[in-house]
Amino acid sequence: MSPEALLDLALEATRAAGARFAEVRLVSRRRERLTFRDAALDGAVDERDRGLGIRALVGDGWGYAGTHRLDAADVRAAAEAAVRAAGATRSAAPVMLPPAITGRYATPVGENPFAVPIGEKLALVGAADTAMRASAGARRAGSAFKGSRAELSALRTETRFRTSHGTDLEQSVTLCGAKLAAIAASETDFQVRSYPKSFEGNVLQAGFEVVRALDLPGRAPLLADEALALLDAEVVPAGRRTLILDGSQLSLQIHESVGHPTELDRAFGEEISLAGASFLLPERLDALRFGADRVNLVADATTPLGPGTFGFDDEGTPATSTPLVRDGLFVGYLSGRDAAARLGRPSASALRAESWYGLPIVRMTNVNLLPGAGTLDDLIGGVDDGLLLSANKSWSIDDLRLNFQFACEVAYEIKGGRRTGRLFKNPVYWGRSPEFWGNCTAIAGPEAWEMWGWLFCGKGDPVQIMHVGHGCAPARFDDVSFGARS
Amino acid sequence: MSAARDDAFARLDDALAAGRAAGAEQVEAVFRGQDAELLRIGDGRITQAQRIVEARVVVRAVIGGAAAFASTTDLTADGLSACARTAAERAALLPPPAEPVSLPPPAPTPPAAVDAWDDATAALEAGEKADWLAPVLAAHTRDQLALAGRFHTGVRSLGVRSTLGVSAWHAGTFCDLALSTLERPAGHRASSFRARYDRVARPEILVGLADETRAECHRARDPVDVDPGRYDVVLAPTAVADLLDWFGAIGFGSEAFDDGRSFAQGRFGEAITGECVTLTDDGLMGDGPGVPLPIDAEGQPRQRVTLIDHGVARGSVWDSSGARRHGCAATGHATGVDLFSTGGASPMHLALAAGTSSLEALLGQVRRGLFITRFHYVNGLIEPKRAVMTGLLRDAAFLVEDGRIGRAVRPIRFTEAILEAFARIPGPGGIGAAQEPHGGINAEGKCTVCPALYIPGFAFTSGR
Repeated sequence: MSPEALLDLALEATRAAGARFAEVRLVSRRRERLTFRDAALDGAVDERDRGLGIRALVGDGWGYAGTHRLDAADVRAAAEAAVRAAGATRSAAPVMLPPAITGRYATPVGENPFAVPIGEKLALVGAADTAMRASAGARRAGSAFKGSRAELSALRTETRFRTSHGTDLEQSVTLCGAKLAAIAASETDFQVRSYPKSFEGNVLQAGFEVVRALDLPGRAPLLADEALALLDAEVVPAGRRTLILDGSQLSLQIHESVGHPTELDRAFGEEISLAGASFLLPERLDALRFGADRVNLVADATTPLGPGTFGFDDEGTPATSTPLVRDGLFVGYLSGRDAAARLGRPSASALRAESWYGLPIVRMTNVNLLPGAGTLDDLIGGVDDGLLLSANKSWSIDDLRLNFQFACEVAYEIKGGRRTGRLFKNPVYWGRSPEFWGNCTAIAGPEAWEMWGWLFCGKGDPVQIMHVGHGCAPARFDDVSFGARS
Repeated sequence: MSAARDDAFARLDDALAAGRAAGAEQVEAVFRGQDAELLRIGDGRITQAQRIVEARVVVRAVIGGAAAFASTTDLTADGLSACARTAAERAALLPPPAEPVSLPPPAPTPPAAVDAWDDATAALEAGEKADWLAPVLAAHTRDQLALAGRFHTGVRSLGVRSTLGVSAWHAGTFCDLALSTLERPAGHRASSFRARYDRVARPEILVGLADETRAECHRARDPVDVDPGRYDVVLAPTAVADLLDWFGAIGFGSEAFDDGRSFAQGRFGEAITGECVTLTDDGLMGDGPGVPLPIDAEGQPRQRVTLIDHGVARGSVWDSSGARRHGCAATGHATGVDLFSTGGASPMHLALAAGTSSLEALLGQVRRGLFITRFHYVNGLIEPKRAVMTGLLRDAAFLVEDGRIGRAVRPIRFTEAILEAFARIPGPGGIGAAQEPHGGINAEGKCTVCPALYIPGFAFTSGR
């Protein structure tokens, strides 16, 4: 059956089963993940899935069914299951239906990541590993240097979306990125330094050109030297100091303390059982001071390279840019159509599903911190006694997204407006979201602004994994608490 | 059930044949299936209902000692053939590895039979579950409280065939139930939580948990602030499971040993924590509650592994490759590949041995401290060699004075080295006698069984 015939059959079957409105999504995904240990390929996974998701509206209740079985009988069974499920639910307000639209979107891809020969990928990682082993630290360290780890990721999601009111959309989203890390360990300690970001690395909406631009071999020696130096480094002393976050950590700070609390379903209490709620209650909209005047944050589903960029979200709303914090004031939410309508606002085009097997829920798109002025060196120049932190190691934040505590891989000491060259290990800082953002004293300018991709944002129950983006330049925060050792 | 197995095996055999035809020397095919009815509750109503029918086949092809994986949800002959071809073509392109892969042969003894199936649970649909929830929602409405949570049920299956003769199958039911009762606005005032992950769903279990959360939410009203510092704590099983989830991953996963960050590394035979702590991994789950899984992703029987025996590190869990790399025997703990994992081994069925005390007896040992029902957002990556974790209180937590539960407290954050904290448990009397089964986040099929714990001097490091 052609995709068009499959979608038509699903729509017809859902209407016939009793839905007053239906959305159907046919989703195909391909995901390649290559992991390397000391330049040897440790894991080579090529995942493909294809399935159909049906969202049915009965009265004002939504039901959902997803299936990988795509023959006619199974599609009809899924349609009936979606309608039955809808009978069990009730929306908080009457559901408003969207006008019909048509459109297409595709990621601008320079070099198809799935077409790059595996030998070329092995050679790239091999060169990085060789450079790492040739570093001064690795040559001196002997058994404390535990080698390199690397990861290359590519993901393509192709979606056909139709509704019973005539909407017809098609989009293809491609993500690609990489990580390189150096491992050092002693009998009592374990340290890692990652580039360009910890965990999955930096994965952006683009082709393999973003991996080539990382220059992994060029960055490898410093990673080994720093991982080994951290074994002998001291822990950051407890106390309050000025903090500068580079993009690899600031992007997660934005994610946890801005992105999640501005999800409107959380604010309404609909994610409370697993993920939690939000300190940004609807009555605080346009009233609560979220941060300093210089802090401006947007949910922008149109940012180039952003993993949260698309043409249309998963209920067919065209991509938008929605202010969340303007001049330090809390002014907006991430939302889908139904939730936004409860506030009398338009959707922030943020209803997204991991794939066909998950119903769309409110997710981040690209939650970006708008740039200020100057360079990272300008930020450092304004610090008498502080620390520059890079690469996340541990993250935790409370269920209202107020109290957070992060640990990073490394802290670089700053004294008298300069980096001293001294490193600290296991730097832990903590605070409360509005006070932290209220103490933001500088944000670097557009030339230092980068997009950072996070592939594994978990939300929903069962958990759906979503790729999101956070564009930011390094930023400075005064009077931050460090150290939380037991 | 045998029809489902036969159908899955036929598809797996198609994949094996296609892999061989594409030049693979060894081929393994794994079937993972799910037929689930998922219901979510929020703000006192059912907010989401969905039915998911999903099956995926993962093919591992080995050529010249190099292995590559491919997976697909297209289980037609063409789809499986393409998947197997992809795996074989990938494996053929890889250079010979320093540590050649060879698939495991069939185990000498088949996995033990387990009671993992409940017909009524398998057949539950959204409408019937909504009927079960209706009186619970009404009771909450009467009390001006909001109910939230999940009520997921269904069937999961796992099948493995390989060209070396491995042939294993398991199908079981599950009920993943989690209920929160809340004063509105949700998250800002009193709340309480109960959860249970088991193989059966029954209305009386649902109603029992909901009655507990409702009663506890009333007791949790008007919480007070407490200052950070060290407190003697009694952790309910839900909170203990939150810690054990991380404890197993950072201490006993094969990747932790590969990287040299496990706190048990090089310490087998050495006391690493308190003498009353005995921790096992048992996929059969004995005769107790929980969701058993008797085979792993390589089709091997899951062995019961003692990880910590009376405080002494004794062993870890391994798949066939990790065992070879570390010179150990495989234990049937291969996780298989998915979004998070490129393979390896991980504990999936941790069981902390019960002690001797009732909850009242545990609380009775506390002169001034806290009773904690649940943690939130625990993270164990700060200093894995010491098992330092951080996280927060969530939902109902109470002051305890002279053994009696008092006022509810607002959330504060702990940062604690868990090996050292467990070492302070004062013998079997510091461990509860009753155990509860809990599921894990981000790991389908994970099931932790644990009792309540009394831990003196637990470190809380910041307030909200």
